[in-house]
Amino acid sequence: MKKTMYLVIVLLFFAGLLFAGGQKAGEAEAAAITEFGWRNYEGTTIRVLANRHPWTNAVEPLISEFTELTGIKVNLEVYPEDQFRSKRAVELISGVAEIDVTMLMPMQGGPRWISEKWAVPIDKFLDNPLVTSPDYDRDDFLGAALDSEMSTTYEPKGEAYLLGIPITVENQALMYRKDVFEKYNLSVPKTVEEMYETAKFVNENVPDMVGIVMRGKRAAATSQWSSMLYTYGGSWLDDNGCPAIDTPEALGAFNMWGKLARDGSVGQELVAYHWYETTTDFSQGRAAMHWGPCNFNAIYENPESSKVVGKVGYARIPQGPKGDSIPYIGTWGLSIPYLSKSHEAAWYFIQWATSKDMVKRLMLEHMILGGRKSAWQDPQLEKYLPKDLIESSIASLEVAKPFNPPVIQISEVRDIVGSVIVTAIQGGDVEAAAKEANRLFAEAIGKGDECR
Amino acid sequence: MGPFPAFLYLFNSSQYICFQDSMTKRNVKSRVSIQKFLEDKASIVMTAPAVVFMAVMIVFPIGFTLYIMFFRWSGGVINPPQFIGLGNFINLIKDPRFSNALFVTIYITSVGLVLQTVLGTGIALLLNESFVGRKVIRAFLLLPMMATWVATALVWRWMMYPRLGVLNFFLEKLGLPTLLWLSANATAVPSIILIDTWQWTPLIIVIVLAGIQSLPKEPYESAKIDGAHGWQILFRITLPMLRPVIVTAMILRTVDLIKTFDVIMSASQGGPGYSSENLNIYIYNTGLFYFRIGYSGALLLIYFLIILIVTYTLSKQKGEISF
Repeated sequence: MKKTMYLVIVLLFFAGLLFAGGQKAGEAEAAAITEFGWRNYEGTTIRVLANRHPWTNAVEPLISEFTELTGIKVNLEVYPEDQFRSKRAVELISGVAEIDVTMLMPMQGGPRWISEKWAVPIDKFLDNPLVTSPDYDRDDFLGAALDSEMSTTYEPKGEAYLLGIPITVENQALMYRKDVFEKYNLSVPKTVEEMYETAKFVNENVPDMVGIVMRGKRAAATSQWSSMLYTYGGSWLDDNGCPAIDTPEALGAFNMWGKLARDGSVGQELVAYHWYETTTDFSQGRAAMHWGPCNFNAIYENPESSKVVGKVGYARIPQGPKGDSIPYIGTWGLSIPYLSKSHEAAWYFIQWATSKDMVKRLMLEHMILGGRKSAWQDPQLEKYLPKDLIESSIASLEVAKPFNPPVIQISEVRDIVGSVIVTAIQGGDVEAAAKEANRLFAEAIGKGDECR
Repeated sequence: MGPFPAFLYLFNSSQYICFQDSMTKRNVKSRVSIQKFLEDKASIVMTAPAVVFMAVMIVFPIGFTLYIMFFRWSGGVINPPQFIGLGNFINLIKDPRFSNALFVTIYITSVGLVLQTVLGTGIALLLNESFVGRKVIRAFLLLPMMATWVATALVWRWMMYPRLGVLNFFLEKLGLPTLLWLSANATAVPSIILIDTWQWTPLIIVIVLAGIQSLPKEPYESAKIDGAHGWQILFRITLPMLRPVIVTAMILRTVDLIKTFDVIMSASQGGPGYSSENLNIYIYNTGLFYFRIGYSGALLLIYFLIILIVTYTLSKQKGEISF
């Protein structure tokens, strides 16, 4: 009996502490603020929800520096990606818990966040000199990285605001084998047609090697194919928000993917290719080119797993028939959900994590590729990354577009579009498949009647 | 009133001991009324947990599925279910992916069932003969069934890789044309059936072998006296007598084959395209991946009816001959 009493007393004590903390935060916010200062929100506690990602691993030990700088305490909760996504969704839908900052991949979750109005627009902080440090420099962010956080990039179209601030970027390059290109006197392709000819040449003339590898597996292939679509001048949706994957541009992109697969790659086998197969082939020296994310350079330059260390060149993806070269971009960002009760303290955390210094540090010390020009242009970066990769990345990250269809029903649409890619690889009737897919796409996004 | 369960007596006596000292008239009265209630309603009280469990875990989900299939709903709170009557069923008739999934389900079930039954029964008959190493072979044949399903399918996927896989390596060595296995529309489903057959034939072997060993000896003795030879004994005596056992094994396999999921999910994810996507995978995709909850409810109803009809037909087969 006595034991239970003690337990109750101890528990009450801790509960008291918790409430005391909450009250203190409230007081801090009430104080009138006349100029920007890192310690303006001292004493607040924020809850940060993160995905188990290299960025999180790198930032976790540095959080004490943030608390030291601002006096804001951070409770960081980290979950593996699948659990992270479902935890975030459950909390946002139920609306009971308080999340102050969460990681968000705008091209994946953006449309849902926009339609459910889950995000606190970041612009109101950026435009307010009382809460934003004078040396934050919004214009330092690479164009495509910031665009991928804009609400107007996605459906449903409405008010324009920033969903978050990018923390990491995944961008695309055409990776090629410098040694093979030299030996056979090949030049780095400038257009998609040239890339096809080069791939075909390698397939026919170089023993035990295929010209190019890329993804071919239904839904998985769509993200890599998206840049082919953009490069051909196409897009997922037209100006009225109706699916546009049966346009001549999209057909050109589907057909090119199929031609590349059959004449310049592993043939029909490509329909089973996910990122694992493509990187295995390329790192084991069985392919001359790889159409994919240049972040895989970590695999290719690792002597323990790769046979092509030092032999890989990185170039911007070649131009389409209209002269466009638009790679895809993948972004993780930090957002403030509507559930947060400490908007300013949450913004301080984001501001600190995406400051010039921090992005540069993460990039140079942990190879976390960030979204700031200044970090990419830092001369020290050349010690860690090939020069051609840095140059092609900076150029790409100004014009790139998100890799997913900009709609809520992403999974379904990816399957629908992916099946056309499979048809193209198998040499089937691409036009009929694309027409049918366009109809299913319209139905999936609830515009079956509107877009007939 | 039914018999008073022993457990309640125990409960009562302990309560009696505890409250013996402070027992007042009122206590006695309430104790008696509780006891009387429990005695009267024992059948209800004792089955209540099971009934509640059934209601929460089985009746509610089925009822909800039957209700939601008339709605369009993506699982959101802000956008509630929207009534569309038979809309989901009309879409279902027009949906080429549904008819494809139905075809794949029938394909996998029929071919897989025939293969596994014929192979399983044949091997069981062989294993019933006495030869050296019989026990070792029996033990080895059971191994596939013991392996983790997903791991098995992943290993098979590796073996079936067209350029790197070991299967094509052997085909090449034997001078045979190589196959695309899981990477081509035409061979994807046969490859799935091959994996499933490798894994589940042992189940039929075990069941049929047990059946053979429990057969009476007398019919064989009289057959021998009448001068019947091997094949006649097999087709006229052994197989007819084994029929109920084989049909039982077939029912088990049929239900499993109709709802094949793990092999497809880990080996081909329904690809290439949708060529190896069966109903189960399609329902999973529509319900839990695309969040078209209402539509997947309609699919589930069809799926449920198929299982019901097939198992009913098969179990009637079993009843025709009894010993």
